[in-house]
Amino acid sequence: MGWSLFMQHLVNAISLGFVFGLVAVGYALVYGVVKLVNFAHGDVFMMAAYFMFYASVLFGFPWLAAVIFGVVMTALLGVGIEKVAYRPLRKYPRINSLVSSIGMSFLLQNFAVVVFGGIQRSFPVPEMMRKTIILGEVRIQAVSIYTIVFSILMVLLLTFILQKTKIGLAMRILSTDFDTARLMGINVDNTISFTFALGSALAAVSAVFYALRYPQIFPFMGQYPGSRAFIAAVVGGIGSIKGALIGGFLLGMLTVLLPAAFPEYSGYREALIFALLVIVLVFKPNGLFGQEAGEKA
Amino acid sequence: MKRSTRVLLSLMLIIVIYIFVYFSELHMDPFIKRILNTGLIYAILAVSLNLINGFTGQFSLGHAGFMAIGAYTSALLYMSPETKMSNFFMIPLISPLDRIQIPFFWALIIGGLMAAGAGFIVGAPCLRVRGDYLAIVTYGFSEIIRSLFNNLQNITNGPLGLKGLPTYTNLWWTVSWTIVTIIVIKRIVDSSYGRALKAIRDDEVAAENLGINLFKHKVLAFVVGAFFAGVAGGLLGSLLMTIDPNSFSILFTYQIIMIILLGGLGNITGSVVVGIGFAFLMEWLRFVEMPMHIFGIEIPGILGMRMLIFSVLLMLTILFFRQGIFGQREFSWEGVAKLFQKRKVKE
Amino acid sequence: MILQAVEVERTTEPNVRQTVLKLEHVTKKFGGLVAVSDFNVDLKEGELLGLIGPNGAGKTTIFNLITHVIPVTEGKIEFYGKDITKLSTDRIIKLGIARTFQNIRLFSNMSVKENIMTAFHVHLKSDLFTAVAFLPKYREEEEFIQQKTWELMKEVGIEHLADHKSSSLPYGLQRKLEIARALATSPKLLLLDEPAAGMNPDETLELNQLILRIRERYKLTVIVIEHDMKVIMNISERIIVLDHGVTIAEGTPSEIQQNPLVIKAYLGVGDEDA
Repeated sequence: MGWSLFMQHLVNAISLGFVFGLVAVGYALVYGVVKLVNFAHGDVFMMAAYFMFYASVLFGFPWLAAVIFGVVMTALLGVGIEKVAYRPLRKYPRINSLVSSIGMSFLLQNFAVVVFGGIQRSFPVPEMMRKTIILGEVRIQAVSIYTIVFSILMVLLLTFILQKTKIGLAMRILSTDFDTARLMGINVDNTISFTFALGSALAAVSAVFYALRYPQIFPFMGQYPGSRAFIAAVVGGIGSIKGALIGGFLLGMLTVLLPAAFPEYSGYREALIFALLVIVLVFKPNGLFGQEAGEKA
Repeated sequence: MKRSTRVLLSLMLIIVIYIFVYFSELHMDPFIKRILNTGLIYAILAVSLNLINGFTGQFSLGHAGFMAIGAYTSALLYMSPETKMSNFFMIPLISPLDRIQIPFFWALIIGGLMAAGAGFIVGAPCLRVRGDYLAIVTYGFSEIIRSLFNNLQNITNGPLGLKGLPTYTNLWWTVSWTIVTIIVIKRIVDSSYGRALKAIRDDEVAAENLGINLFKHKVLAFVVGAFFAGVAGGLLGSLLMTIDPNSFSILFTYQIIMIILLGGLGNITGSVVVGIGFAFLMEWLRFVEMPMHIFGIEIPGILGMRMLIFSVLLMLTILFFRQGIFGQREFSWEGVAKLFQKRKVKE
Repeated sequence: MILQAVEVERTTEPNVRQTVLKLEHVTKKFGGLVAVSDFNVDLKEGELLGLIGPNGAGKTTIFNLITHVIPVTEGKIEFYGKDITKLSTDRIIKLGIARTFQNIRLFSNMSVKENIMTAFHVHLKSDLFTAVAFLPKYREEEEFIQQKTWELMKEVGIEHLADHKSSSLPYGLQRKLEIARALATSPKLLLLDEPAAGMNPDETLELNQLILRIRERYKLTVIVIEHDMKVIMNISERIIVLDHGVTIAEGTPSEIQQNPLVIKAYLGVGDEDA
């Protein structure tokens, strides 16, 4: 692999890593606060793409307005899912919510098939995103650069919310202890709703960049990035934001660079990535960057 | 009621079932027969997953993976060398698999054993990972199997799958295996071993402090559950006549989970009834995808409606029927006797 | 009659009795926190040891260390002369140690009867095949289990509740069921973690008698953790007092009651609790 080709792959990997990373942050936020592996997160991501598609194509929203509309709708969807599918089960064993999230994932996919149709649709890509930037011998897609820049902005925004705002503080307290949070007068329900809104909005933003990169949208499009991000979140240490981002990078690198380096084994990429997941969980259950949790009482 | 009476009644019921099978094989509509076969395979899958998830409390998402192993292993053993040759036109099947052909029964057993071996490997991490983490590990395993089967072209024929599998599966096979599965798992659950499994489900620390070896018993549940899943996979392959890696995706596992939830976690009767019922429901729901005429207006069929209804049902079960439709109520001859006594009193 | 039996036990010279449990320099650290520090005990056959101390003194931790629910940081644990420090929990139980839990841990979805029957599993001789095939050997064992379970339920007075779900029992009876379940593993050493917690005075009195009775009948050596001084002072032959993981006193109940260190560290607090 030549240097220029390597650079192209690298930029590609970094931007894909950010996409996975932002979706993974959604898993991490939700897991951190309510200790739920939200299997429906990838499908929320898919719904985001459809919201934007319909806003733009059917209702003729300008592109940016369609994106904002999509982000807001997705955030609302996330809040709604939590209210309907997870909140009533909060007092039951955690496994109930887990099954509920699996069911929700199933429901969203099938809903999309029936309502949006099973065929692929073309996501609108604005002209400025279609460009290819040429630096010497290195050819980089404009989308990759936009993805990286906007993702960094999103991470900064997220850090600001978590560290400097009241609701961010509430989320952090909730993630350590529900009872303490209640004693401190934190509105648990609202904080959880906000967590879902935030996680879903991040999924929506990454859905934009994902759809710009692969502009065919379909009801099962959330599965692949969803499972990638999910693995990223687990490998990074589920519940840890930093871990999710680093995990996302790792997955982005593996996804792009592995087949580029060893084209003959590219078929085994999936098996390898899932094996990584299993190995990390078995030998380092708290992930590479997760906090050590107390073992059995 | 004495044990001997119960055994006798059960034996009589089994004979009645086999008489039914005899006449069904002769006279039943092939379409219905096919659905019934599918339903019985679902029942085997549900009962075996229930041993792991319901009785032992180890939330596994690996059942589709076990099925895939069983389906492929047995298919590669019972297919004729000629069929294999025509399937593997891209990359030839490795020796000696390309020449071997063994009877269906032994192919199923070996398929089950291979799956059981996988069950051991998947069950082993149970000691280190628990709850939703275990769910993720088993999901990962199932995806690894699918990915490997998509790539090991000289064994599995890759994404093309295997086609033209001989149809050995009939009601004799599915009914017999369902009965064997139910008896074996029921006997495990009712034995001292079953009590240990249920103890692990209810409180691991307490179970361990009564001297129950957690590892041994969790692995036991996985191995037995996986064996029957493997057999069910073998039966399904021969029923559908075609298998490919992607038909054993996580969605298949979700369906089995839905069945055991609806039937009630840790309820064998529920798993069997809902398993068979599920096959008929899914078939019956096909009508929603066909064009309909209501009051002279034609409503076009909507593709995917069937699965949407299914997923809504799933969500309703999860949210409102946490105990399933059957709850803790199991079929028992005592229960039947009581039912008759009540009727007599009424008369 | 029961009290007389105790008197007999007490007059026996402790030195000639065999050592059941020996903890040497046992220490447990959680991160920087020392939960148990240099704990030593030499427990003779038939002895009834009381373990007391304020909340967080490390009493339950000692139980958890003995049955290896958590590993020791330093030190050695011997049971009938055999080093069990590194053995797994299930093997330790199999050797003959049983315990109850401070926060009752019954199998909530199983009946009272099943809870006790489960505890016989540890000594089951039939393998899985024998059990599933319901061969005569297993049938015999199962019958034995049924019969013994019935005896144990009678012993603690819950036989009329055999088929009730264990979680439906009142608190006091749940504690008794837990004791019966522990006895089903045929222990030589019984560890009771606050058996009187949540009981009224009548129930507590009854519990005292139960503990002494089962000790006699099943030839047990017992360690009791208890906050209720009426229990501890009445039934223990020897008491060890812990505070912040450190052993601050050891002696007979009357010695402990007069020990100024104990009064300062514990009894004052204990009275407020009661």
